[in-house]
Amino acid sequence: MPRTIAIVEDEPAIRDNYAELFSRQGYQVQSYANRLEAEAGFGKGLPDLAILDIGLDDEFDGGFELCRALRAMSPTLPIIFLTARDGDLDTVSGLRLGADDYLTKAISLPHLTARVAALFRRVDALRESVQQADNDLITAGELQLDMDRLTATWQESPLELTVTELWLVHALVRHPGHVKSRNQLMEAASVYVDAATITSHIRRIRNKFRLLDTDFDAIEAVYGAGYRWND
Amino acid sequence: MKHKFRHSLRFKLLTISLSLLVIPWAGYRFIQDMESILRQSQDDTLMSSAALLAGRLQPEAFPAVSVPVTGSRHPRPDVYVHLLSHQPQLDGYGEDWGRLRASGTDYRLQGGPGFLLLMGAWGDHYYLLLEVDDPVRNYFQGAEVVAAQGDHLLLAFTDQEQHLRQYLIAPRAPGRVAARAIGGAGDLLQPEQRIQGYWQEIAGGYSVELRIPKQLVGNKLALSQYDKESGLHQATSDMTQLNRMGNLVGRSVRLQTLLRQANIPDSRIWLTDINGHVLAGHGRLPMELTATTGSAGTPWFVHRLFSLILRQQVKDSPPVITNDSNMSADHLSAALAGGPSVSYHRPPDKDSLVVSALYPVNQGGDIKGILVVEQSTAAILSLQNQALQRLLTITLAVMSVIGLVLLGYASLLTRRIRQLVHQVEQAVTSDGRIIGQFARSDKPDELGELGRGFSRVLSRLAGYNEYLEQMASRLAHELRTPIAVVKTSLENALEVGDGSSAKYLDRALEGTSRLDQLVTQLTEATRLEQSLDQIAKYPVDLGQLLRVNLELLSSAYPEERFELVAENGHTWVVAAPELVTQALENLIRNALDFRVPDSVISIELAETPDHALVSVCNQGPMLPDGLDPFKSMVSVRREKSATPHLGLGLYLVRLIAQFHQGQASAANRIDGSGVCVTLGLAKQCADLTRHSGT
Repeated sequence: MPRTIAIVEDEPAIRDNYAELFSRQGYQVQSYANRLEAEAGFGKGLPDLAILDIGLDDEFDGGFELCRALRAMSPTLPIIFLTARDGDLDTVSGLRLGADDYLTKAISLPHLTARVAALFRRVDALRESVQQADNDLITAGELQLDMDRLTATWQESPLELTVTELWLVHALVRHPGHVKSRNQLMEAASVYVDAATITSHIRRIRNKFRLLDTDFDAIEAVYGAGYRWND
Repeated sequence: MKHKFRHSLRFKLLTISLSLLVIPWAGYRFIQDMESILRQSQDDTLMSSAALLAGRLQPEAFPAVSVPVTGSRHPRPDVYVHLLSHQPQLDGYGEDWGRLRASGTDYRLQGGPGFLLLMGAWGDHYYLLLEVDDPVRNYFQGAEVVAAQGDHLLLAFTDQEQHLRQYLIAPRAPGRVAARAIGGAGDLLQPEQRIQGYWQEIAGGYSVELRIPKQLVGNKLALSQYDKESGLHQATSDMTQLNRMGNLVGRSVRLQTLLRQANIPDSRIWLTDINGHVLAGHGRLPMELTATTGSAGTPWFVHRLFSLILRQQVKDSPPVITNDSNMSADHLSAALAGGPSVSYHRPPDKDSLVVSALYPVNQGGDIKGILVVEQSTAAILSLQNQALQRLLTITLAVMSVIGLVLLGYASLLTRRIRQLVHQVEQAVTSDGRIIGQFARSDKPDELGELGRGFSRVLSRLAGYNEYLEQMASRLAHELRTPIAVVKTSLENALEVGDGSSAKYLDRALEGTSRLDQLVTQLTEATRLEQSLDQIAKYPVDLGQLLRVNLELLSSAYPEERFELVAENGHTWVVAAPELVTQALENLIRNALDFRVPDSVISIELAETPDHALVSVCNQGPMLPDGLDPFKSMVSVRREKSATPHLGLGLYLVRLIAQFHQGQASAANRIDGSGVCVTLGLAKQCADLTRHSGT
């Protein structure tokens, strides 16, 4: 059965472009122009993945409201926030809405497609109860990364990282002790933002680690030029 | 900024306040005017007192005197009788006459015989003293006395009954002499026993003393002297004609009594005849000035000042009369001419003047005598001195106080103005961005108004700047959506297309991605400006930072060559490392765009006592003159480069430099091979109060 992707975006051209992209790839697409329409639609039936624009019509935080509503209806549904403003990412993560990823509209379509595919992969992997022996597991200290399922654990406890954050950590952990510049990290995570955004991503990642372990200091900022993973 | 004092407002105020000096000058002029008014008033009062007194004098009380005739052989016919203070010793010598000898009347001719005559009264006798010039003394010899045979004296006077008596004094030798009366026919009679005399030789002549009882003498007397050697006579007046003989003139008791009745305070009064002989005198002048010398409190230079001011007037006055018996003709000349007059005299060693009012006493058109009333101006002078002193003290005090107050207030004002200038300058950075609040002053005066005006202007400007800045970010935000539309549409077109228009779609996509980067740069700049407040600074080893960055650069740009020129020690600065890295990245990107291919880009670290300087140098074209590459939107590129740019990179570098209390600068290399762009960071930060974040 094809998966359903819901797109909530008030700019019709963008909405239609995304919708046609995903249709071509074989997904079912539900597109909504504003929050009320989307809530009505979700009420009738939940999608398998939702892509939300933050600024919807006249509502400045319409996207947040929608996310909360959606999360209330399904705790595991993958939600991707799409925003035009880089600065919104901070706000979004601060609200701890439980979205799975935050992307800017500057992302290219192939990258967006890859993101969506990765998220679906994760959902599937979580549903499967059988651990496969040849998982792409990376261990670094007390961290364990499963790059197939796109999950992470720290000290055996699961880490709630978005896909972007996961790829960032992965980039760091692949060469522990090596300094990765912010540009390098950007490339690895397929995000093309300014340096300050990387800084805030890293900050959010650290905070998530610290929720599990208050002594976490494995990610070290090196003179603002880059970061490295210390075991 | 330190201005020279002479350009400052305080100096100008002080100079203007010097105009206050007009006040003591005006006061001084006023005092001078007052003084002359007072003097005038004193003169007038004195004159009217003199007039009053002269009116009370009965002209009949004046003795008869000879009227001086100009050109006559006997210019001084009258003989003045002094009041002697002691009885002279009748010995022919005049030393015992004392001070009085100086008052003798001079009867000397030019080149001829002459004598000095002094006549005085003591008790019941008149005494005469003659000092005669006669180098060759010829005494009489023989029993008979023939007048022309020797030096002799002739004495003539009227007696109480107005009869003329004549006597011859012809010595045979020095010593006692006799006066032989001369009869009506010219014959020599017996000596008059009552007249006694002594004849003595002195240097240059001889000296004769005579004593005559008062009851013998009337009111006319004349004396003559004959010198045998030259054959010349010298006489006091006509010896034979009564109406031409000289009068005896002396102090009059009656007149003295009248004078004593005069009631003119602090005055000295004389009464003289028309020849200047003093007929009566009364009173003394108080010579001390009060309150000038007595003010011990005033410093010495005040006294000097006074004497400078006052001596001017006193200097050119003739000296005061000291002669008790005689007044000089020029002293009386004005009065003799008929009118009352006032003259001024200077007492010795005193600062005051003596005012003389001369009033002729008339009887029927003839002047009988002259009344001289003298007063000292000491009282006025001391008044003037006191006033001047007060004036000086008060004006000095007032001027100092006013001067100080003005200076103080001017200092206050200049301090406020300087504060205002400082505040205004602090509120704006050197490139015109408004960074500070401007505290509003609440003083109601013009300076406060100025401050409030500045505050309003600055806040308006700040608002406008904010609006402009926000416009940039709003614009960027607005642009993203249409760019996203274009991009997504193009990407879709690429996917569904048949490939024939793929390359056009690719070019279009490339264009949109450049657009995207531009928008990112724009928002990056704005966000940096806005976020600068929240970024914390802490001590960072700049050398280590550069080394780490060098590593990363080498891996990011493997085809390029970088080198680091720095000492291996530690260079500590207080900085936000992510900003320094970002600035470095911008500088590297700038260098990469400009550099000659295959040349080395060098990163250099240098130090001054207060700053650390990071320079990125590349070989390539030099900077044009007058260009400020740090201004945003300034971009001078020879060739098109791969990355699009708005010229914001260096602008960000300057922002970051300013954030670190340093400066960004660009200069051509000394050898002309390229350009070095330098980021300066302060080693110490004034406001290290925030703790480090991240």
